[in-house]
Amino acid sequence: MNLEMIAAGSLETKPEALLNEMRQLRDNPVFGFDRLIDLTAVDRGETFELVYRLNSLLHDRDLLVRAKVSLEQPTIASVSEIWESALFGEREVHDMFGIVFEGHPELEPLLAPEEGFGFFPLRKSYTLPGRSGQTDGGNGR
Amino acid sequence: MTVKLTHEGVTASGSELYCLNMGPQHPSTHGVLRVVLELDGETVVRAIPVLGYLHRGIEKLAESRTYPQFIPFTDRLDYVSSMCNNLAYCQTVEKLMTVEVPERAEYIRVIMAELNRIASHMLFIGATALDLGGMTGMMYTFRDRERILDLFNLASGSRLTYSYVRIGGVMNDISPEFVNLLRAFLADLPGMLQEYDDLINGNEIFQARLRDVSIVPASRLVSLGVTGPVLRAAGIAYDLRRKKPYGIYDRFQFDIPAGTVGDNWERYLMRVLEISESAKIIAQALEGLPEGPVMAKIPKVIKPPVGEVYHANESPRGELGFHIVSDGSTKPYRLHIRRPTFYNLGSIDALCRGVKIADVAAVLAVLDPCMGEADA
Repeated sequence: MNLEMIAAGSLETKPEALLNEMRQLRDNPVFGFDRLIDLTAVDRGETFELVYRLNSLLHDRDLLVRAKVSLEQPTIASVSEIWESALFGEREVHDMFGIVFEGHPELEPLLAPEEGFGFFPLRKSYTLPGRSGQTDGGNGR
Repeated sequence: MTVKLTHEGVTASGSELYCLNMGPQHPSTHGVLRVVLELDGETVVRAIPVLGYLHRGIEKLAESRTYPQFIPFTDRLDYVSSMCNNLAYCQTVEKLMTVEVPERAEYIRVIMAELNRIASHMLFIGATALDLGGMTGMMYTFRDRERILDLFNLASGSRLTYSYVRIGGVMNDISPEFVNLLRAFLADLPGMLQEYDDLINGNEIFQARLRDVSIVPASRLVSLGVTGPVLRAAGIAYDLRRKKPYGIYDRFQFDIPAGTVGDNWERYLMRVLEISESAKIIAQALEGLPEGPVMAKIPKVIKPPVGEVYHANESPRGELGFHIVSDGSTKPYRLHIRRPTFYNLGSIDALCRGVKIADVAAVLAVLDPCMGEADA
């Protein structure tokens, strides 16, 4: 792992290396990131970028971990076995972006209804219907 | 969601498990939270939170609104502490734009945020008493909370949805009348707290209902991403106002109450103690309140530079953070809200396991969920 990047507070990782690196970030006392404060995703157009916000109570330090997955096959390992807060965070991202977290024990809709929305609202490919057929939520850019 | 029972069949004691639905329309779920309880007799074996009944898609709506247009949406997140939401959002945009906020505005912001924390905790105390069967307590806390809402009404024109904190400062200056009423409120506050002590906190039955119920180790709460008073009750004195002082919070003297046992009683007590600490901050802010403008010179059309920013405040419920990705246009490319209640609700299963069904209402009450925020 890139120690300089960790010291600077931002780390980019490959999806296949994510689980291993995250486990080290929590278990290695040098890092000691015992909290996953937040988990979200950004639709970058060509890829989905997952954003993990870690915090260490021990060292009072923050770290931003990014991982990119493809739009066609948005799959990444679940970190819910490392931090339990990911159980909720990953379900939300699954609802909103349709990203599949492999190994999540219960990847059911959380904010979406039981059968899902039928679309993924926070993807850029989804536009708000808006009033009178406008596609920008009736609030044109 | 489709609820799958995990412990189907018969337990070791020979009793059969059953399922009980609680909410989304239930007086003690504080909004539209649904919890599916799996029970062994009267003991909770598993509690499954079901969210989303108040989901409005605020994060998506943000993408078609300009930066100032989004401020009223933050009012509708945690609708009992809108000032804190306004503040967190505006500070995030200011961080993105590197705006310098005038001194007077900074002090007014602190006064408003801490007043709102007191109002939110007063509502919490009353609602908790109500959930445990004490109707009277609520009347007193709501009476006193109304004085704060009157102050907000005077400053912003609204009782609940203020949109008072703006990008670059605050909406308008506070009047001498506001300052006088605020001083009178601060003078009366110790009397109010004494009344709560006599009526609610000091009540033996009330204490017995909360003490030693739902003790969860701090390490588990840390893993669950729980923040705010619930985490502090477990002994971790983590408060963003102290750890990462935003605005001018580094100028004030105040204590961070923390618990030792981490039961429902201490979770409740944290809020009571925080009211006095907030009052201390307000008194100091009033003392140091400088003269001057309340709004920075910011462009008419707000176009933050291309970039990404995260900024978090200590809201009455925990860490409230805004993550904004800007593409240099007038509207955010992506806006994500780290809602404290959302992650706190993730701990319901851990908090409820092993407690009696009558105490589930107490567990939910001291978690102090606000569904507008959790569902966004």
